[in-house]
Amino acid sequence: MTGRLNSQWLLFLCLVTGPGLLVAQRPTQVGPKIRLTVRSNIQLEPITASELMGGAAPTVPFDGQDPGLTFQPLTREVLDLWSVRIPPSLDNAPLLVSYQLIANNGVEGALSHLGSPGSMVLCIVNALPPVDIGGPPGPRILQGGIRLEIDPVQVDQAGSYGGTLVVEVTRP
Amino acid sequence: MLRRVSVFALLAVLTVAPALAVSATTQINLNMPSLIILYFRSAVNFTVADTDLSGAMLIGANPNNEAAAAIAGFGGDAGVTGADFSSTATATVQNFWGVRSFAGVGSSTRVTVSVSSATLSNGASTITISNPRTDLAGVGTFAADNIVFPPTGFALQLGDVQFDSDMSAMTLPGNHTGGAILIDAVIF
Repeated sequence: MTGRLNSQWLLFLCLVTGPGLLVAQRPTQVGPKIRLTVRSNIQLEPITASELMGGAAPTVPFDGQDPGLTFQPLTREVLDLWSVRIPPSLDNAPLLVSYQLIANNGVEGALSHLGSPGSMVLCIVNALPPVDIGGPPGPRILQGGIRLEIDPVQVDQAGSYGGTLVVEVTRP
Repeated sequence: MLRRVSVFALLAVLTVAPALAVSATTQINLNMPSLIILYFRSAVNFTVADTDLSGAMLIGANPNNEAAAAIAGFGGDAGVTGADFSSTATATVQNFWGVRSFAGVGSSTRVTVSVSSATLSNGASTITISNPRTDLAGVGTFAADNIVFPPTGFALQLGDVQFDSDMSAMTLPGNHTGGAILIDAVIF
């Protein structure tokens, strides 16, 4: 009788408290399994005027009509954004890494101006292939990064733009 | 029997790995530079019409008609006075420049125009340009050689330019070339 009650309690504990362990702050760990470390305070290389102009001079002959403005693709890479330490027992387990970028003003997929929140840099986060930087005899360590596609079309202020990037590693 | 079933259930929980997820957050910052793009007319051609020099043709209140009548009829002397003659004309060029500018909060954009080459020549015949003024497109007050306005972001702000031309040393018709107006745009 006693054994039956204990078993039921343990089952309940696993099902209910398990999800509560899934989200943690950097660095974080779920039980003895996967340890995720993410770089803090990433300062991207500043965009230059030449980049915005696609290398063209900032003085342009025109005929008095608006010639329009086409931006060259702007990208920034963060190669060593995160690393995951994987114990041997999970060495072959597939992992899913996902990203969510939220501007300081709360808009998803953007960075917002620190002093003028309405001014935003739109960003698309693309994952770079992870690199295996560890291995036997130690635990396997994967390192990954992102490439940001930056669209400045909504920018109307120079200065610093910021946001929060959430990195989530899932083993389905 | 009941006790055995419970043990099996516990083993199932321990051996089937649950889905795992770990997450972390980090702050990302990017600096956007101040930027100014200046669009300019690389060549401006303007034609001086006789009406631009209407003072030179003034004979009474309606110069063209009366001059034509006098010539047709040889009706007498034309009474041209020094005060009636005007050898200067004012030229206004719309959308002479355009600016896109973005800068930090509290910054401004200033466009200044100046004459960098005042003389237009056709051989020995010359026209001198001076007193350039500028204003935002369509405003038309032309109060100064510069205009200040807030950063435009990536929107295009157009501007007009006005200047005077002195044709008192013009002795020949035809193209007079060589004048130049400098446009300077800054963020401050």
